[in-house]
Amino acid sequence: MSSTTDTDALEVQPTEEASPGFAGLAILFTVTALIFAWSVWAAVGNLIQVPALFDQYRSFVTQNGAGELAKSTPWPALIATLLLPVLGWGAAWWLGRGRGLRARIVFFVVAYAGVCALTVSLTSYVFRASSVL
Amino acid sequence: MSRPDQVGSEPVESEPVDSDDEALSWGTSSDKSYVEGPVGSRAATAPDDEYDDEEDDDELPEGVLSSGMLVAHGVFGALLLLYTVAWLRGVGSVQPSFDSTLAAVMWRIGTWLAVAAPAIWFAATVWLVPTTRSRTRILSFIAAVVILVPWPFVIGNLL
Repeated sequence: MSSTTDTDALEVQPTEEASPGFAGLAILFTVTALIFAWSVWAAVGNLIQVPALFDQYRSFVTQNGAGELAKSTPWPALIATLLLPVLGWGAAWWLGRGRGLRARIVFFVVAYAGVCALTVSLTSYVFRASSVL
Repeated sequence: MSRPDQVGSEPVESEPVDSDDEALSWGTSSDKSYVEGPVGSRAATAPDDEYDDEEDDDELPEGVLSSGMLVAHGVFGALLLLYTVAWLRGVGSVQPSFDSTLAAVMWRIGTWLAVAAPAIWFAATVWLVPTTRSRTRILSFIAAVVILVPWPFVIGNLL
């Protein structure tokens, strides 16, 4: 057995499946980019709307003499939900280099499932971080 | 070399042989009871140096998992199955409001993908990573265990 380096261990050996042509890659690029872009779009919406909700809540509790109930905006979680789809798409594209179309599709499905899981987790954390949503 | 009981026509009482020694001996080809056995393994017939060069590693043929890897698959598979159950139970606790039907539909699809993510990841790893690349498979399983922690369930029930 040949020895493996750290870099080799992280990469998956290309299979003998024929590499997709330009048209296949273009379709794959477009469809997956649209799907992942939706997640980015939703994250941008949250990045705008959620801090506003936190601000309203903070104003309300402060005006009513309960400032200790004010919660800080969970910026790291909101920014992470914005970056995750980009990182997930990039990882799927990079790991699928030199592989066939089916394998590349599987990489994108796994990546999108992972992004969805992390997004739901972060949303759950944001819900937990405040009682305003 | 002839044995004592083969010399001459008269049977000669052979010298008592230690039964243990006899049991551990295959005898020689001059023995009448000697039978040529099946061709032995290369380990038994090949010179030591050749054997060391070609057969000294534990490489298994493609498609065959070592027992250690089988155990690892079982452990990670069970853990990811538990994740799936935890996702199923926890994902309902997160119900944001949406300003469009499309957003609601995409969220619903995302939650189902989150539930299915552990199984998808496991199956994809088994399908895409050859059995000979054990280290890559283990790394992929570890990544799944770290990334796909069912936080909605953990936050709602364990924290």
